Amino acid sequence: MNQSRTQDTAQAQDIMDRLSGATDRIAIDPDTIEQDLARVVLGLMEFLRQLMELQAIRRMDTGTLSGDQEEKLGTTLMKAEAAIHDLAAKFGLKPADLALDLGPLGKTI
Amino acid sequence: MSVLGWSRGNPVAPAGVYQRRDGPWTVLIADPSAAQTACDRLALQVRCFDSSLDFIPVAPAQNLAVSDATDISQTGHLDRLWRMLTGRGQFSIALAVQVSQPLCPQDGRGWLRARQVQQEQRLARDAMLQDITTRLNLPITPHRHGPRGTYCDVLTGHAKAHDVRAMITRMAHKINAPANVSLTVTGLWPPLGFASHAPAAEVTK
Repeated sequence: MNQSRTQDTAQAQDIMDRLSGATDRIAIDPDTIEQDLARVVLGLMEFLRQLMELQAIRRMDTGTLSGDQEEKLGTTLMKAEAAIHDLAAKFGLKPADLALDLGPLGKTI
Repeated sequence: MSVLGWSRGNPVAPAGVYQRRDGPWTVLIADPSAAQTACDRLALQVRCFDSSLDFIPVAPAQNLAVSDATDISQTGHLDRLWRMLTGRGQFSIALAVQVSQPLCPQDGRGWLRARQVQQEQRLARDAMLQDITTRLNLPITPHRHGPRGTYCDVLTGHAKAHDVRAMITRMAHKINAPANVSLTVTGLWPPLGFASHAPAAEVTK
């Protein structure tokens, strides 16, 4: 580790990501009710999908999955992620918008 | 009107920032035309911070209304934040990864293996950031993960800022990081990472 710089595109991106969302909190607005509800529902779905992905990785690490099981689980999770992102896009939501802030519990994703 | 944050007493605010007294608090307000975007509001907050104005910043993305700021100031939660944040700012630390080409495996097994590698790299970056920040013995935010790296903020007093930056750099030289990982430290910034208005205890020390 020999670099310490004052400017970096990745950090700028991090800052912009944090600035770009209207708010991290769940906000239900009468004018944007469909998008707000979609954000809540799809956010929870993506949260559960990521939990399953982590569990699958853990089982790979411990060697308790056969090759066929890895293929099946991987395909399912990959397609589930694509489907959730496609649905989110239909409501004008980016993948980053699906991270729900649960206050004291932190973010779901 | 967009709220930039809360201060106390009669602070000297830079041009373009107005004040409204609200009990013991002074709400810092910007004209909407000068604070249309989150970046505009952040720029004004940085201007306040650079002029040595002590304040609790509002997350720039929130675009908080004055009435909401008044409600929050009556909860008592701000007192705790004021004690924690007054006289302090934050360094933002980024461990950025240079990714040559994103892996897009078409089969399920390859996809899962790629995620396994990403998870290992993420845990490694977590450990590196932990190594750097642990010995600072300062409040830090939970690590944030993005496709390009891992990030966190460190809260420090103005008087110790130079020493803290030097210490972060010293610690960074000591850790054994892969060649495609680089460390970036920016600051001091207003302590935005620590100013959650919800009564959350996200900060660790």
